Amino acid sequence: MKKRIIATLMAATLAVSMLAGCSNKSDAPKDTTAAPAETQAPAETQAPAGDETKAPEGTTAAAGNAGAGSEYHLAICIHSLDNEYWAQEAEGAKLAAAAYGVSADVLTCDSDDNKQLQGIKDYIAQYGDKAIFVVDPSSTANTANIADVCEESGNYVAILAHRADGLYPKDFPHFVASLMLDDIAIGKATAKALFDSIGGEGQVVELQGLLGDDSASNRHKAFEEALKDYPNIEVVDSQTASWSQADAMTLTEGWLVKYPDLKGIYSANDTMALGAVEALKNKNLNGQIKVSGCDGIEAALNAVKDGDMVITNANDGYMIAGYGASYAIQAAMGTLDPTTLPDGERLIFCKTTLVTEENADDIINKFITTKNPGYDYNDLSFCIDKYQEN
Amino acid sequence: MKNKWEDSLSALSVGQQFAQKVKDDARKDKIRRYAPLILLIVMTIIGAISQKNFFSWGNIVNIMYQMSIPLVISTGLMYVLLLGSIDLSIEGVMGFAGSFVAFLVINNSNDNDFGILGILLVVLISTAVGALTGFLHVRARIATFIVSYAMGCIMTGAAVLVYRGTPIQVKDELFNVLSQGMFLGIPYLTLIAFAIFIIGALILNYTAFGRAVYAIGDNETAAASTGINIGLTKIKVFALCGCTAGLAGILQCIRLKLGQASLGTNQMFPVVTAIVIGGGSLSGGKGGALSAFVGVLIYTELVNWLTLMGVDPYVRKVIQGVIIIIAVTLTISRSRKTISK
Repeated sequence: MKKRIIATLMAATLAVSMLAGCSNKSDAPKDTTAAPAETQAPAETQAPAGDETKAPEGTTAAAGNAGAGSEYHLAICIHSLDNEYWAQEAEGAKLAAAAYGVSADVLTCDSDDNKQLQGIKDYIAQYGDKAIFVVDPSSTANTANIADVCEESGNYVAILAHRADGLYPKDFPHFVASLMLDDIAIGKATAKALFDSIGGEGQVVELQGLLGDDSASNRHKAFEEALKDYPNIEVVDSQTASWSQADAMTLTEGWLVKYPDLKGIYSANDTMALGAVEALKNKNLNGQIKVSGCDGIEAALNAVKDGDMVITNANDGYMIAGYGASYAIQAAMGTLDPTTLPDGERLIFCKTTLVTEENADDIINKFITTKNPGYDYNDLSFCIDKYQEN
Repeated sequence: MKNKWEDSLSALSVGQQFAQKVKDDARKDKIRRYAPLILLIVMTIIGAISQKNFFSWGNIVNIMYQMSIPLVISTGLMYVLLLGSIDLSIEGVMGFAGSFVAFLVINNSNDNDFGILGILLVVLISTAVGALTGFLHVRARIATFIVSYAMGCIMTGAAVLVYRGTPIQVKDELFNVLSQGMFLGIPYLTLIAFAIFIIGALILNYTAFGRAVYAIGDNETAAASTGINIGLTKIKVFALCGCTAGLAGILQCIRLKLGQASLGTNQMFPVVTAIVIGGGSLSGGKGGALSAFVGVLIYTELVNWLTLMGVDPYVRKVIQGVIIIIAVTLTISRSRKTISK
């Protein structure tokens, strides 16, 4: 009997935790977005659409749509919140939702295709045609399924960072836009900054990301392309640390023994770059051997500021997810008609920021301290660096 | 061929056959016992011949650094494997311990400054978590790989909750000293790891508790009939494993200065492999401190050697896998009737 009671209790706990997990993974969004959205809603129902003077503060820019926006619900579908970049995406999309007076929920999927699709379907079941999606897909392959599901139910969606081969927004009226990061351009820029910092010559090693991962292979390709302009750079080794700080540190320790003349370390992400920096610190070589990273996590921004890293790229989740959300929200509200947009303009490469010692403080302030870079999410063109296909 | 063998057998009396079998087994056992040591020597020679830097002092220091954390993990894990159990919570506990210790000492995100006290607290929590894993296994009769996996999930989640997505950077001078300092050319980190391992080895070899662990792993029913408190011993083993996993997480944080859940990622299976290479058995009762040590050293040398060789990363994974299979084939005990359980 006692056991049965315990079992029932445990099952109940499990069910509750699963429900909590599906609908809203973190407590933070509840505090920050759900509350303002609720408070805004009554205020806006008083203000007829188009009446800009009575719009509440913080939504002034979107006041024209605010009345209509309040009934919409934005689902921010990301992998998880335990990664700074994904957390930034969630923050950015929430800021955008707040700008339009739309309420927002974060759905996490832990990189599981089925869990992400199921989350989207559940959200549609809950809010019907008032559901809007901004999705950082669990995998590249899953983008096609996500577009299909949203098209079938008629919900607007913007998909970030990945797009399956042959999947185009033009074939889906409700797949508003694909927003990606130009990994090749970013990788080339960080590699070139690294090469320049060592005077364009000398021995360099490369820390690759997880083998088979598309970001990893793009950044590796970018490194090789950048090398073409620097004939005096000698790549003495190129190994994978699988995005891991510990693996990167181990590899770097080995390299420091084998290549006493090493000048620079190109890393495909910041976590690995920080591993390299720790290995250098143990030999008092930090700052002397140059390290480049990518992503713009807080620790790396600090390392750039301290001179332990030459450069990193702030991938800016506020930009890609905030404007991705804006595209989908505007389409849902009717202020943007995706079908009349030229096909190419729905395939976007987002702006990002290269971080060096000079602008590190500014970026830390915008992205880390205040958690609000102050973007105007109504101006959709602001996020566009270039289009994916020219 | 077969007939000849049968003939030779039938020529012997039953007693002679038995004596022959015992002798054969003893001989095989001897080879098996020394196989890991031979493997270690062969690996070292190959390393020294193929890479002139392999025996440089800098690289020896590297190997000492790199074996520190696996050695600490193996201290607790060898007990668990001796029982024939597994502890999958190690990675989660490591991640939590590293994240929480970063939270407690001087860091960039809050005003905490608990220093050594913080380290002790984290070790205490990790030990308690291990004990809870053991308790649930013993009392609720949940298989260890399930209960420890679940516990690992909980600890990983707790780790992420500690830093809420933005890993905490350690600024404590104590951590800098421990990660960079050396005594007679040996890194502090390695000295700490060796001390932990030696304590673990002494307990295993020279206490009643250690002998009870061997007895349970060899035959649980027989051990119970001799009056060993099976449940309590198992809980103690898991508490010990939790303790060393916590210590390993702290050391990893000292090495990397960044408290995040991924401190523990991919740390456990290499050590399980290392212990098996060293002559341990997943079904319990076989192995011990020396075999764990030799195994960890073989594994660390292998990874270090592959880095120095600078082979293509794809090929590297293949080579690593092949060498592990060869190593385990040479050293694993095949006397049991079941292949795995």
